[in-house]
Amino acid sequence: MSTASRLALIAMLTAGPALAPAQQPPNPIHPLFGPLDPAGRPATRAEDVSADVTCGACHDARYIAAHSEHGKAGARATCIQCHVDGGRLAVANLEGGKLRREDVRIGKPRTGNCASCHGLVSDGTSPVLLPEGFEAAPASGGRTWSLTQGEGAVFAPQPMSESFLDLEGKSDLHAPWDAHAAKLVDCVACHYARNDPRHGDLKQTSLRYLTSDPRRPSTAQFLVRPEHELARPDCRTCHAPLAVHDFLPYRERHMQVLACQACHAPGPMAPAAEMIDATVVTSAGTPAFTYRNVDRRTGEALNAAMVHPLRPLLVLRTEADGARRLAPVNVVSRWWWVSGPDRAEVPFDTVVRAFREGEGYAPEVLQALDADGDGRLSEAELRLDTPAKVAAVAARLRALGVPDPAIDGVMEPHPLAHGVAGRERALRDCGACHGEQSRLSGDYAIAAYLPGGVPPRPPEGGGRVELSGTMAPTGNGGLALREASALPGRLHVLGRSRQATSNDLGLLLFALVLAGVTLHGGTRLALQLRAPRRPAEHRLRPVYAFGRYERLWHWTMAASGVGLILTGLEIHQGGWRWPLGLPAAVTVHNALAVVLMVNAMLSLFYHVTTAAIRSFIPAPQGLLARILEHLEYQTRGIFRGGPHPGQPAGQKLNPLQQLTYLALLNLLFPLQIATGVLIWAVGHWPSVAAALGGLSVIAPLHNLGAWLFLSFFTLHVYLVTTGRTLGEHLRAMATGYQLVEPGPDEPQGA
Amino acid sequence: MLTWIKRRWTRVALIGAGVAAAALLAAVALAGRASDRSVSSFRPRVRPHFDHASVIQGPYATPQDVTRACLGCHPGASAVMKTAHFTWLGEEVQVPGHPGKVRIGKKNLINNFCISTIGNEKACTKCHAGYGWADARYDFTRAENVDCLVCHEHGSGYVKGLAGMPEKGVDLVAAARSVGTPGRENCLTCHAYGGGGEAVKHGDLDSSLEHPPSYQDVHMGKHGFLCVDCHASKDHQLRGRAFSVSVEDGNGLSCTECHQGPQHRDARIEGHLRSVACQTCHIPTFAPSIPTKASWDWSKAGDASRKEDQHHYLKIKGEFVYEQDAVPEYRWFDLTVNRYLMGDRIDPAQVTALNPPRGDITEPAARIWPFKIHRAVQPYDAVNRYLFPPVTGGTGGYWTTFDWDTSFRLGEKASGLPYSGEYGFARTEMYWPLSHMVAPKERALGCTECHGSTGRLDWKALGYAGDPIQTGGRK
Repeated sequence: MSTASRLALIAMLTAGPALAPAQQPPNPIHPLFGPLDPAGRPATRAEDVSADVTCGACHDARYIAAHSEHGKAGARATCIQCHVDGGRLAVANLEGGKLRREDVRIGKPRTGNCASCHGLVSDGTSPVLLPEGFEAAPASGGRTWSLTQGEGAVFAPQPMSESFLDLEGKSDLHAPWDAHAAKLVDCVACHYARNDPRHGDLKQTSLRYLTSDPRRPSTAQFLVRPEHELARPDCRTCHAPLAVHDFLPYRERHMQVLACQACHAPGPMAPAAEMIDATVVTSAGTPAFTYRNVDRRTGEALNAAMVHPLRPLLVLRTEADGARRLAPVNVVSRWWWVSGPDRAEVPFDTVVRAFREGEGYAPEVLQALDADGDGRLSEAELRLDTPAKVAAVAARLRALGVPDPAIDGVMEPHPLAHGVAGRERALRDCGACHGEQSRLSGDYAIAAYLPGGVPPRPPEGGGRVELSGTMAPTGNGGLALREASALPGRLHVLGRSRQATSNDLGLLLFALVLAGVTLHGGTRLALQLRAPRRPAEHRLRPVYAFGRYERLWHWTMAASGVGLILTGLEIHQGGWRWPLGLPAAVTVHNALAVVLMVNAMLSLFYHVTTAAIRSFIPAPQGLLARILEHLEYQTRGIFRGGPHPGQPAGQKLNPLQQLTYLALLNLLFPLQIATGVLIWAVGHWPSVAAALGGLSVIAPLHNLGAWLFLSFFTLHVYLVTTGRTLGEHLRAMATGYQLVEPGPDEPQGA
Repeated sequence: MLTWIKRRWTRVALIGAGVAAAALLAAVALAGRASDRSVSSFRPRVRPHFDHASVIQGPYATPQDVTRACLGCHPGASAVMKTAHFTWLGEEVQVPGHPGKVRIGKKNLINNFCISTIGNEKACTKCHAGYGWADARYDFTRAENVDCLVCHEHGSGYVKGLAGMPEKGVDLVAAARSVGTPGRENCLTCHAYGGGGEAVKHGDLDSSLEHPPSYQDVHMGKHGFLCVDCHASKDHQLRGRAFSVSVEDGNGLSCTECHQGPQHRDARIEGHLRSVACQTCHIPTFAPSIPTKASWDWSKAGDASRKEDQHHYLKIKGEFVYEQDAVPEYRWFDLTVNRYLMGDRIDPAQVTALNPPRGDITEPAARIWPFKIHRAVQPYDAVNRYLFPPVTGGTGGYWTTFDWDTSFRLGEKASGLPYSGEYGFARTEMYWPLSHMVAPKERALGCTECHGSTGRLDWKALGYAGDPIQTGGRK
């Protein structure tokens, strides 16, 4: 595109920001017709044309109106607005009372038609910019920017980096504003007429054995009576998410609990509103807007203000297939004046007249709101946050004939359904949910202040979105949703959910062990430093105590155990990206668990078949005495250099060890293996885990077990150092040879 | 006994350390995943060139002396005399629609810029890799007539003038001492300035490629490629073909030589490769930073009353239109072209395409390619009905007399093509397939650039029933 044509384009855009979409081509099939006025007479001016009468000559206008959400109160779209290029029939050049073929630019609604009421779109030929009037108060039933202000979405195919907006990280935002728009999936591709014969899902049948209904209307029947209750499918109507996402651990689980948008609407880049305060009038004659993701300096044009990615709120939403999944929403709170006993909305024009007189604000309004007396109303001043200010405006409204003016407010959750990101911009940061900084944690701002002190009503029932959490005032007069994603249904999110009891208990145990070991070791060290003990003078005799296989299984167990603890910690923390990152940590953890289980199984087989298991079973005779003897040694003898208590022949383990291992092998191993397998199974057979209380029961148990393991491991490593020399036991487990003091009858030396 | 244990202990420790190290490596490899294929593995390494400063003594009385010095050590370099850089002619080739085999090249073809080199050698051969080509009597057999320096000198202030001789004041010793592998500026010295100015001919070659930003040329800007990394040479024969002077693609270059195997994760995009050249999506616009000549109307030349400006009007050349960041035009192309040869008949009522790309939707080998199409109005012999090589420069040429008749008579003498005495003006087109200035993938065309109501392709003209996203691609 040449510079000249670019400049021309810019000029065109600034002159008429009504987003000129490419012209709809003439429809070669639609019969030629004559435009009629409401009385059925030929109409010669576009504004006289009655869509109901003109189109109704062939299409069943009454049926369509009765089956259309666009024909109901509040909306007043006509056939022409949605189906004709530019929303106006070209009736200027009729031929024989009928439209010329080239003027029959009629067809399925295009994005431009939808955008004339719903939000910001671009067909790719013009760069995205926010038009004038973006912040104007919507006239009843007229244009809104809900798609953009509500969801932060722009339905446009071009890369975000090519828009006019000032976006954070713009130069790298090569993803399109909407992945569907970029792939020529337009509005009506999803929001189609429900009885359109091209779509098989025309009936929500309860008969499960029917996948399709062949009795669907013919094209001709459809054209006469198209149902205008438009479909609202969700992603899974067209996409099969399980067919991709191979990289994702717990793929099935993620798909089960998450709406696609949770990752594929990661941070909309268009200005999304936090609150729209229509109880006041800005100097531009619009309601006061507060955006969630815009840094806007006073007086700055929205097009020039820095837009950040919108961080959505994740809440449970009922999707088209009936499942409730975590889906991102943007909650917009709106306030406006109501009047009379039925609390009807006061037209914004009236509010404007109440606020303004001539070019500026009315003196009464200024007097009540202008705190610093500079004759202007700053953003902070233009708030009805005290009863006096409310009363002043209410008085002006009453003077304009508005009875009983009062303020009303509501919270509107807008599910992020448009502005969808494709693979390249989808959220891939596991820590966004699985970590301390999880999107599922923390408070969610609702309003920076409450107009008239009126808290916004929660959304009315029947919506598909459930807001949870509790409303709590913030320090500066605003309102926030506390623990907004408190996860109804006790969803357990690895790396983010903390089950306080088990975690604290485990940590405490670990801390105790660590403290004991430190104390014990410190004492030994201190004593050794004060009075160094020489190793025994006599020569020691090596005895082959640990066979090859015993050492192999021991070290395999040790390596896999340490690996499990390390990767487990990483999963527990969730947000760590080093050294593996969450998906790799999960994979390695699972692999190590398999190694450990196989190793445990083989060694169990070995111990049982070779009777080596005996050394793990304490001999009952004199057990107590021996336990006491060992306790005595560990608490006193070891410090004084006393002799190590002897052991019955053929016993490698002392009774304390035996008891520890009994508990370890019979309780901790089965617990960890069972809970671990169940956690793994959540990804594949969720019902099994669900029957046992779900992850929120199983995960804490596994977590507690991990702490116990870590405690055991610490103690074990410490006890390794309690031989005659620090490395003696370690050497024995490495080489297999244990040094024992020669019996009195044995010759010394070998 | 103890020493034995100690020895054993050492061995165990060594083995243990080895196992641990292997495990660590495996973990690191797993964490790092397989890294992307490195671009540098495709980029030929340019060897540091021998510093000739120590062996070049000089002084040199003539540039030919320099060439003799070069050939003294590099006798094989005289192979360049067989290449088009020196001969301005290609190998013998069968030109479609013409009998027998001919050698064609800059030397004997008509273009729609300065029209022809015949009779204008002195000016045109400023870009000849040789010395002294002033007229048809030039001796192509003398090795010392080769200009080594134009391609191999580096930053020595070497500039060529009329008949390819170095301009006055050029320091031949300094130039000879600076030689090395040809850099981008060597190639661009001619290839960015052909047709009498910068970016006149190619829409995808101009001086911005000396140091291009990465968004403009991913190979040279982001990855530091040199021209000769792709246009590699063997015996001074460089790879690659220009369809302004070639009719087929022998020794040509292709993206797929480096970009092998499936390139796109999305099968729908990968499917495009059957019908769409890589360049079509990956060169979204041409002349992104420096405007290129889009049209040239010779019939307006000679008007002394018009204001002169090299981008709009020059009295000696006529009227121009330059375009910047322009959307290419798209045609089927099977890497062969038809070629207008000197003396071919034209229909002056029609546009004569000098090198129209061959291929259409039915030909499996053809792909949709992006072109800069240069459109011109140029003089022709109105009775014989062929395009004619006028003499423009020099004594009696059009640029001094502003008389087409005189320049045609001189052209008749130089070319041997009979002139009837009557001339007119005819419309011509030249096709320049785009292959340079490949944009980074982020700038590649998306679906809506071609498909849908705002697409840039004329599907009907390309032979499709409609937008193939709805009517399907070719079988």
